[in-house]
Formats: sequence, C-alpha cells, structure tokens
Amino acid sequence: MMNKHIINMTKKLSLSYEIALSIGGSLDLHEMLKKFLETVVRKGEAYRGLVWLLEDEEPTMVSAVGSFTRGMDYSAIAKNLKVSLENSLKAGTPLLKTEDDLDFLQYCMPFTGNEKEVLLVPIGSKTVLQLFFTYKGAASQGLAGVLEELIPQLSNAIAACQTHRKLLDLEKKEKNSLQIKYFDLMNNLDVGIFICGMDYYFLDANPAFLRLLGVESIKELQQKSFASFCEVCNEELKEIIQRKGYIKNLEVRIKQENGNSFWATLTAVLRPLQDGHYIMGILDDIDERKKTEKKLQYLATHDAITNIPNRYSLEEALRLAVKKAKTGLESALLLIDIDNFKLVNDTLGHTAGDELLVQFTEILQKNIREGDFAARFGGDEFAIIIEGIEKNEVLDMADRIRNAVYENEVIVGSTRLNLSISIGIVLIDGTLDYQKILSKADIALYKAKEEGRNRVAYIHHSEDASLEFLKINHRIKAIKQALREDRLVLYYQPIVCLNKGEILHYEALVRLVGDDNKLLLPGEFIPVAERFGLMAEIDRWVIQAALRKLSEVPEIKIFVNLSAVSLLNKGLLVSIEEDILNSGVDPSRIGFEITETSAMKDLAVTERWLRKLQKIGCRFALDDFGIGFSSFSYLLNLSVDYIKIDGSFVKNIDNNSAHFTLVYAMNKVAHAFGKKTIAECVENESIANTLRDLKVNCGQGYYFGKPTGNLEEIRAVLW
Amino acid sequence: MISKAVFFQPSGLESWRSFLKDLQVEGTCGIFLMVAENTLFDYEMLRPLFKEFDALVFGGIFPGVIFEDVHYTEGVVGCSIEQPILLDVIKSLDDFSGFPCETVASNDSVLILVDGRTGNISAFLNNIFETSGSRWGFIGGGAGSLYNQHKHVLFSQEECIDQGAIIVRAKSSIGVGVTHGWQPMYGPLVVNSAKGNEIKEINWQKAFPYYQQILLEKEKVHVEKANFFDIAKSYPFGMVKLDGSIIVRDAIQAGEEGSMILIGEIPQNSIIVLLHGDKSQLIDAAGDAVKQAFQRYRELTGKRGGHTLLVDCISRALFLGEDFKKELRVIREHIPDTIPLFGFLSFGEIASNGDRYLEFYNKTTVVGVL
Repeated sequence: MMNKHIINMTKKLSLSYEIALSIGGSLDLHEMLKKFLETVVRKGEAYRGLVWLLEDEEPTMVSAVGSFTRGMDYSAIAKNLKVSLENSLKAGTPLLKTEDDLDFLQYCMPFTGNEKEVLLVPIGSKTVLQLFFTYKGAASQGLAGVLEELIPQLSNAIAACQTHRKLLDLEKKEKNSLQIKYFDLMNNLDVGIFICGMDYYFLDANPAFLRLLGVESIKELQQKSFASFCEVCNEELKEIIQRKGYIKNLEVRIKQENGNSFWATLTAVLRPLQDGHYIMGILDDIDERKKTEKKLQYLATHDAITNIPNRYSLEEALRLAVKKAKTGLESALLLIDIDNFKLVNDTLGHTAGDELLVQFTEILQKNIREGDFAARFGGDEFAIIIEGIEKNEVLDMADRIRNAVYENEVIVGSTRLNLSISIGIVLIDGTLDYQKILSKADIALYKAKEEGRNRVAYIHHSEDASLEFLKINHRIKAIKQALREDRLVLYYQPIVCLNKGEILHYEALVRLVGDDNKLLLPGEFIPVAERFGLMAEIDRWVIQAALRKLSEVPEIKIFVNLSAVSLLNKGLLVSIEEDILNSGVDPSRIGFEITETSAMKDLAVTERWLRKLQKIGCRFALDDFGIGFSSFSYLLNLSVDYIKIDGSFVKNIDNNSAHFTLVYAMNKVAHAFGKKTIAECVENESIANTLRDLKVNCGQGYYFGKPTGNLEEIRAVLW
Repeated sequence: MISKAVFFQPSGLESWRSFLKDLQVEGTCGIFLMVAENTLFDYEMLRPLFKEFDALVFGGIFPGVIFEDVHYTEGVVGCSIEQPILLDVIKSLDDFSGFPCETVASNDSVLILVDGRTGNISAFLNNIFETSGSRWGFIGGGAGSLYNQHKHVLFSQEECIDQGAIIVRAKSSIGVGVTHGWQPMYGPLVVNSAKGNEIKEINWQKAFPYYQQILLEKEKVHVEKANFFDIAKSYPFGMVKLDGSIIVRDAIQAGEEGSMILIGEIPQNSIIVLLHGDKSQLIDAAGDAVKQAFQRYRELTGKRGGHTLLVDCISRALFLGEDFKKELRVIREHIPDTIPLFGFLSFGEIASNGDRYLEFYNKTTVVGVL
C-alpha cells in the first residue's frame, strides 16, 4: 500500500513538476519548446512529440522529439495534417485519437506502425502540440490533464519567446546597420586595425593597416607575422598578451615592406572569438608626433644658441655622474665663466654676444675629449663633466682649455675679441648630490674669479665651502682694518719714455700690509674689495696717498688706478675732485688709469669722469688695452691721453709675430688718434728696443724698474 | 539469430583457436565474446587470431559471465551469430549522432555494449532511439572490470577501445523483458541540483547529508563515506515512470561537498524516490523479466525463441550475494529447457522493445529472447 502511495505521488508530482519546470527557462522559442517537448515525451512516456505553428498558409513544424523525428518530410506531413491541426485549435482543448478511431491516421501523422494513440493539445491560437503513444491509455495516465493545466503558462512562454524574437530581429536589424557603419568606419579610418591568431600571424586588417605596413593585400599580409615588421612587437605581444591579456599604447618601431621604418603605438587585446582566441589590435602612426616630441625634447634639453645640452641636461648628467661615482667611476665637473662677457652684450649687442657664445662653444668642444659632456649652464657659464679623470689630469685639462680660449681670438662681425675664462673644478666621487656639487663648483669658479680671472680654481669635494667664505670674510676684515689703520701702502713703478729714457710718471700700485706684516698684492684683495664694495674707499685712499706723495716729491707725476666700480660712484668723483683741488697739488701731476673693460661698462659715465677731471688738468690712461674686447674704434670715443698696451702682447713681441703685429697696429692706430702709447711688461732691453723701433712712446716693466715703496731707489737707478 | 553459445575457460592460445573454430560454424557471421574479468585475456595477443576468422569478432570484458544457471568470474561465453550483422565501433559516445534513416518496418535486434565508466550514456541512447526503426528491440549493458583490471573493456577484430561503445545490429527480432524488484521506501524527493551522474542537492539540501539523515531516521542505518558502498547498494534511488515502473539509479560514492555519484544520470529537477531491496522480491522480479521477454518475442514472431541473453547487474549480484545463484536458477526455471541461457554481469543495463525510449538501468535484470 505504502509503495503504491509513494509511486502515485511521485508519478503525479514528477509529471506536473518536471513538465512545469521545463516551460520557460529560455527566450529562444525553439530551445524552450525542445526542452519542454523532451520533458513531456520522456515523462509522459510518449513515443514522439511535435510542435506545430499555424502562422502561415501551411503549418510549420517548430520542434520534434522522439522516435522517427529526424529526416522526415515535414512539409508533406504539414499539408496532410493541416485540417487536423486546425480542428485541434478550433476545439480549444486536448484532442485524443486512438487507433480505434476511424480518423486516427488523419491525426497520427507520421505513422510508423507502433503508434496507438495521438494527443493534440492546442496552445494559444496558433500552436499545437502533437504527442504519439505506443500503447493505449498512455495519454490518459495524467499527461493530458497536466498539459491542459499548463496551457496558459506555455502559451505565455511562447508569446514571450515570440516577443523576444521580434526584439532580437529589431536589434539585429539595428546591429546590421551598425555593423555596416562600423565596417565603413574601419575601412576609412586612418588608424590601422588588425586581427592576428595566437601564432602572431595576421588574419585580417583594414586598408589603413596595409598602407602602414606597405603590404599590397590581405592575402600577402596573411603570410606574415608581427615578427616580419617588428621583432619587439612580437616579443612584447607574446609576453604581455600572455601575462596581462592586453597591450596599451606601446610605442614601437615598425619596419615597412620597403625597408622604411616609422614609429607607431600598438594597442592590442586578447579576445575570444568564435573558435578560439585572437589578438585584435590598433596600430597608429605617430612618426610625426615622435619627431616633434624628439624636437621638443631636444629643445628642452639643449641650449638654443649653442646647440649643446642645457642646464636641465647638465643636472641629469650630474645625477648620472653621481650614480656612476657611487659604483667607482669618478668624474669631474668644470664650471666655466667667460670673463667680462656682459661687456660684449652691452657694447656689441646681444647678437654679437650670441655669436661669441657659439664660437666659444666650438673652442670648448675642440678642447675636450669625445664623450666628455659640455653644457651651457646659463648666461656666459658653461659646464663640462669629464669621466674617469683624476685631480691632476683635470687641472691640466682645465688649464689647457683656459689657455686655448685665451690664445684664440674670436671674431664677432668685424670685431676681434680676446677672451679669457675662469674655471671652477670639483671632483664627483659620489659623496655629494648633484646640487651640492654644483654649489661647490660655483664656489671654485668664484674663487678663480676672485683670484683675478683667467684662472682655474679647484675645490676638493669634501672641502667645506664655508671655509672659503671664512677666508673671504677674513680678507674683507683685513681690508677694512687696513683702511682704518692706514695699513695700505703705495708702491710705484716708473713709466719711462723710450726715446729719452726719462721717467714720464709713476704708476701707484696699492699693497696691503697683513696682520703678519706680509704684503698682499692687489690680486689678493682687490677682487674681494670690488665684490664687497670697498673699492671706492681704497681708490679714495690711494688718491689721497698719491696726493700726499706728490706734495712730498714735487718733481714727479703719479697715475693711480680707478676701478670699474669706482667709476660708477658719482660721489667718489666729487670727493676726488675736491681732494685734488684741496691738496694744493697741480692736478696735471696726477693721472688716472682706467681699464678698457671698466671704461666699456658705461662709456657715458667714463666720459663724465674724463671730462670732469681732465677739465682740472688731470690725465688719463687706458689700461690693459688689447685684451678682452678692445676695439680700436672705441678709442675714438674715449678722450684718454695714453693707451697702455697690455703686457701679454708685449712680453712675447720678439718671439711672436702676431703679437708684434698687434702691438705695431695698436701703436699706429693710437697715434693716429692722437694718443700716446705705453707698453706694459717691458722685461728686457731687447723688448725695449723693439718697442722703440715701433715708435711706442713709453714702456713700463721690470727692465725699467719693479714696483717699490721707495721712490729714491728707482730714481737712483734711472738717473 | 544465435546458432550456438558456448562457455569456455581458455588455457592458452591454441585453446582459444579451437574455441573460436568451434564457434565459427558454417554461416556464422559474427562471434560475440563475453569475457569474465578474471580470465587470462590479452587482446594484443589474441587480435591476430581474431583476424584469422571471417566472422566479425567483438565483445567485452565484464565482472562476470553467465552460462545456464551459473555465473563465472573467470571464463568466456562465446556465441555464434548466424545472420549478417552491422558492427559499429564508437570511440567516443559524443561522436555518435545516430543512425542513418532506416526503413520503418524492419525488425532489427540491436546489441549495445558501452564502457560502463563512460558519461553521457543517456544522450547516446537517445540518439540511437530517435534514429532507429519502429520495430527494433534493444538489449545491452555496461562492460567493465569490478577490480579495474582492464583499461580497454570493449574490443573488435580491429581494435580495443575504452570510453566508447559497440553497436551490433541484425535483421532479426528480439523480445526484451526488464525488471528489478526494488521497492520505494521514501519519497517523493526533488533532485533540485544535479549535473551528469552527480546529484548535488536533494530537497534543497546537500545530497549526501540528507541521504544519511533519511537512512538514519527511516532505517536506523548509519552510512558514512567509509561504508558507503556496503550500505548504499541496498538503498538506491528510483525515477518513477508514468506506468509506475521505476528506473533505478545506483549510488556508488559520496562525492565532494556533500554530493553523491551515481551510475547513470538523474536530470536536474527530477522527482525521485528512495528504494530498498527485498531479496525475494528481487529474485521473483527476475523471473518476471523472462516472462516479459518471451511474451514480447511471441508477439513479434509468433515463435518461442532460440536463445536467451541475460544482462544482470553486478550491483544486484553483489546485493544478493549467495542468493544471486537463486536468481539465476529462477531465471533458468522460467526458460524452456531447450533454450540455452547465457549472458553477462554488467555495469548498467540497456533495454527497450522499441516502443519506449531506450533506458539505461541500474540494478536491473534484462532478458532478451532471440
């Protein structure tokens, strides 16, 4: 009893539950009906099941499950079955026919001989379910009842599938239209689009891709893999695709069929497509952009005037040098400043200044090794990084550079310029960062300038920069103290008339008596005094001391040096004028030497001095003529009485024809403009004779007398 | 269809030769070999011998073979098929999509041997049924080795295969009877989650814990993973058909995460019952299978039949133990003395008289009268 009860319950539940669950579950009509039909046939013990749709003129078989369902001519069956199916729809309820019914075969199509019953179940207004059974009473075991109950549910499910189908059709239409648009877009895009297989051989591409690679046809492309055009691509593709599944904007160099190459960005992604995985990608030509980028990068890292690396590059190079130094490869930084460069810009204009920088760069490059790094640091400052070099070697090299600059004339337009440079050196051993190295080099450069320019100064990387400043501070104190305590002294060097051998006048040269009573030469304290605003005071002291000397020694004349900074000091001019006038000394016995470079800084100011002091009878000499940026034409603009030809030309006059010629020319031109000439650095009789032959008016140098504090000594020698 | 059936215990290649020669009588078109798994059987050694014969040689390895009312775990039952046969060797069940369209009226008998360990047997059988003639009868079962002694359990003259099937068709009639005798003890139950031959949930609870709970509550039986097969062989599942018949599903293993592994499939959302076996009911049922088969054969041919092929489940034999001999005796008793009985123990049984879907049964006795 119990067993029967369980079986009956299970049977009923199995039938209704499993069939009910088979309805829906899919929005595809065929799939949904097939699943439903399979369940009905299997659970209902049917031999076969068919679903017919009566939408068109002839019924259409939309699903078939069970025996003899494959390979049947359903259109023929449909014709014969049409009336029966329509009858079923008209009846509106399940229609059962058994083999005992006369019209059984009209409903039981197809008939194979095994069929004993056929059940037609109308679903909605257009669908009929046809079930075949091989034994009598099968349909009545509960299936018909279950199906009748499920008709509304099934009808709804079919309607849902049909609605979904309509939506899908609509979507497909839209998709087709979109696909056409996409296709059109792809064919007209300038960007290359490709598909390749997992073996990296191309499968398809748009016309732009073929154009980019210089390939004629898809067929030709399909013979090639990415390796044919870009080995990196192939490796990167493999690596990245396998690891990440995509590549985004990878910059690659593509080699075209004809051998030309260009830069492109590659974006690719691994996609599942139909029967496997493919790589889809975009190749975009960025050659022009790359060129612009390269240009921009060049501009960002190079100086526009000299075409050598700029400060940004220098800093990068220094960082690298520090890094290398840490691994044992030491290097040196040379910071170079063109002495008095500002004058060129001020007097010849910025174009000339730029031209000078270009020529200077050429000199620099000729005197460094291949592989050394030269950069323009800014303004007139340059830097060189020299790898794998020791202190002595770098000092030699720096001096060679300094000398090369010093000995090479630079011609800017029609102007010949003699340059000098100051060089600060620091070694890079990895202990300091690049900023500290730059700072050290700057101090070294400052030191070189302080020591009189045209010099090389070296600071040990471990040397405390503050020591340098302490030294300077000490020097400033010493100058101030000397001014206060009157510990400056004047030395005198005679300027001798070459023809007569008479002393024309004396040049007063200032010395400073240090704490230890040691005499400091001008080069040791004048640069500090200039930089820290003490020159006017020193110049005033010198003039007062010279006036005192002139008062003491009536028959002599004295020339004192006026520094560039003093020239700019209007108050000093007035004070000096007053000092001269108040001293009672004949102003014609005192003269002033101004360097050409000082004069050039502000010609108008210089002229004001000249006019004011010449007005009361003072004389003027243009000092150090010929070095720096002297130009004969400027002589016209300065109403000086004397031109002092720089000693650097004079001392080699017997051995260097160029210097001889220069001295000759300078002397000639000076005379033509009514100036008298004084040659500096006359160290021997031969030079004196040469100068005399050249009609140079006067000479100054060791041959005629060293600077001395005791005027009597000189006079005793000469007379 | 069958002209001769012989039991043989081979002692060497020559004994095989004389055995096969004995089967290869005049007019023999096929030789069906049922090899018990403990038999000395080396396919590679025997293949050249098989090729010596004109008849198509095929067969399978089974946990046991049956000859008359005795079952053997060592030995071979061979039978000669006197009608032309069509032999299909299917290497993968998924590759078989059905027969070419056949004539409606032909009376074919079809023997289906599958590797019992193969999955997707139900779909394979559906493909056979849906492309079969209307008057075909089917019988068959799962080959295999209970102790996994053989990898390839099906063979023909040309090759031996695993995970596949052999289909043999002949233009003759077969009457098939199917019974098992298992009775529902609890249900109905909903298999709300299943995949292939693994049921994951019953009544929305994890299958194995739920199975444990039912057995404890209803039978006071503790089933654990360790004693699973010993207990579960007595409590299989059943799917109830409209006519009240039940298709048995044998649970053979507690799976991962509370699932249960079966021989054969239970589709998801199936309504099932839990079964229990009474030995005498099982044995009586076996006799009924014989009756059904002879009745069907008479319906088809009007004759009483020449041979009886028995496909009996190994699980049934294991459950019945010594009483399995009784079952065989009962079966034998229902068969006329002059009609020989032979067959094999199987991993799952296949049967249909052609008017119903082909089913893959478990724990069932299938009798075919040829």
